[in-house]
Amino acid sequence: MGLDEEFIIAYEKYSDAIFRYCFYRVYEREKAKDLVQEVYMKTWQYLSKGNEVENIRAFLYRVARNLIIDGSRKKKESSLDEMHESGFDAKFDDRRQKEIEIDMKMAIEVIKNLDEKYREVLLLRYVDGFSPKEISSMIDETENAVSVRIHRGMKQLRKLI
Amino acid sequence: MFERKKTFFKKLRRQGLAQGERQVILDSLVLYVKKNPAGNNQRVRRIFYGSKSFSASTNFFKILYKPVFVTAIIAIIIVTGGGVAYAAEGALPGDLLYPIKIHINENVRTVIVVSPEAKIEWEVSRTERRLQEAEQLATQGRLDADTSSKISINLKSQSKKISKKIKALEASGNIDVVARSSSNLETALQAHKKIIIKMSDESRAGVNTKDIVRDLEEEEEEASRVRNNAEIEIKTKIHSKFSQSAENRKKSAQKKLDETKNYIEKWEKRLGSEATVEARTQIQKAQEIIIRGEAELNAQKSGEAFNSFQEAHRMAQQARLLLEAKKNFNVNIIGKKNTSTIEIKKDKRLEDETKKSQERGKDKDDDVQEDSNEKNKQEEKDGIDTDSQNAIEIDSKIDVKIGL
Repeated sequence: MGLDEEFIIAYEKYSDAIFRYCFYRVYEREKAKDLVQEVYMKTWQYLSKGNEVENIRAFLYRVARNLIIDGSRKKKESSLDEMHESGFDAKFDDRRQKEIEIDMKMAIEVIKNLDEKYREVLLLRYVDGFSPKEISSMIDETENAVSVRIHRGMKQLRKLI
Repeated sequence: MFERKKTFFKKLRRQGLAQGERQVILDSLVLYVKKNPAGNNQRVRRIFYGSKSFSASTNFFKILYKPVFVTAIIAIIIVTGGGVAYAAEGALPGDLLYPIKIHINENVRTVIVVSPEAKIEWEVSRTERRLQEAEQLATQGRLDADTSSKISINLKSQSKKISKKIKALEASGNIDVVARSSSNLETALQAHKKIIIKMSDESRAGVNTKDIVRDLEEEEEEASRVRNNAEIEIKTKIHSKFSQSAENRKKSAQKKLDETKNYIEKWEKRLGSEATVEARTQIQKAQEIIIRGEAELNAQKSGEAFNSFQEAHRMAQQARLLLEAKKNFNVNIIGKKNTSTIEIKKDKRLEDETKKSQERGKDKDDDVQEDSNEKNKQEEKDGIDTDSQNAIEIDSKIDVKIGL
């Protein structure tokens, strides 16, 4: 299988997850989509130069994470109000979907109010399904630190719900 | 609590890309991947350092040929004000811009040209372009066996294209166009063949021309045959219907003559006295033939007039091509007095033959070919370099000269 074919498969498999990851950091749909594209382009740049990647999924997350960190360094964090406005342009049609949307909005509100550190690990653990070990390699923390963070994150979450 | 946690995160998981959104991003990624294929850097480097092989550039052209790239390149051309396209015009096989020249510049022209006449003229011009490229490569010592055979392949496909078009024109009765284009083609092939033979004669380094010369001869024969047949048919044309065509041919012959005269005057110093004297003699003869043609026109013999104007045009064209060779490559062919007289003699002889065979009422083709064959054999024995039907003898001559 050619490199480009593998790459496209990695897109089909993980683009949704990467989008989600980005969305819960920037809370703007368009921006998140742009980030997804950028993540994959950078990954391709890396691959096409002949570099090997063992775990493409983890690699994609790492690229996304770095991009977001770089981005937020350049911009000041927008006000909570702004985030509040722009977070909700998900595509849904019928009423059942509407209900889901409201549900989701509430959930999103909740996690927005979490600390960045906790939010990240909680999402990686419970939305994307990474193990603490995997998370530790992705965010450059020890496995232990990750577990602690998850635990503390859950505590804060319970308070918010 | 545990339940709520589960459902809570489940809600979050629902966030994702819609199918349409995913496709949009995928499309741009696919383009990006194609633009930057894996291992691309190597190939580009090879091209830049003047690789003689075609494989580098053929892969490059395959990518260039994708619709995305045609658009991108057109955009570049517009932005650079045609700079890239202009630069590509001078590209030779093996150069980075060569694919642009062939697949974009030339294809654009192919598409723009509409009438069947103009189309076949363009294909003849294209053949000339390939030959000019071959000559420039020879001058630079880049005409190795590989490149030579590739050019030969190119020439063969051009030749096929032209044959097809000629057949179509013959079928639709455009015999004057057939006569004109085959005449132009024949002259061009002849002149370039001489130039290329001369170049390998002078043993320029890295010049391998066997394939090309062989092709040129075959194609020249073919063009000559077509032209002769056309001219024979034209002779029988009714004056009233054909006089306009004859007039047009006269105009273009005169134009060609004048152009060549100007060329001689412009480049006199560069060309040297020998070449210019020769060329002027040719021009003079051509002018006389035009006058003869005018007389024929007045005598209501427009078919014959047409053929005379053709002849004059051929002579002027030949002179011009050979002068160009002298100027561009310092290859001196026009100095041989014999060659030009032989051309005239041969044509005149063919004319006499056709008159005879018309009177005899036999199958014209066979006679003409047979007789000119014999005449050529005679000339061969006299040691004069003519365009012989006797291919084997020519081949061995060339082999000896190149030392293969």
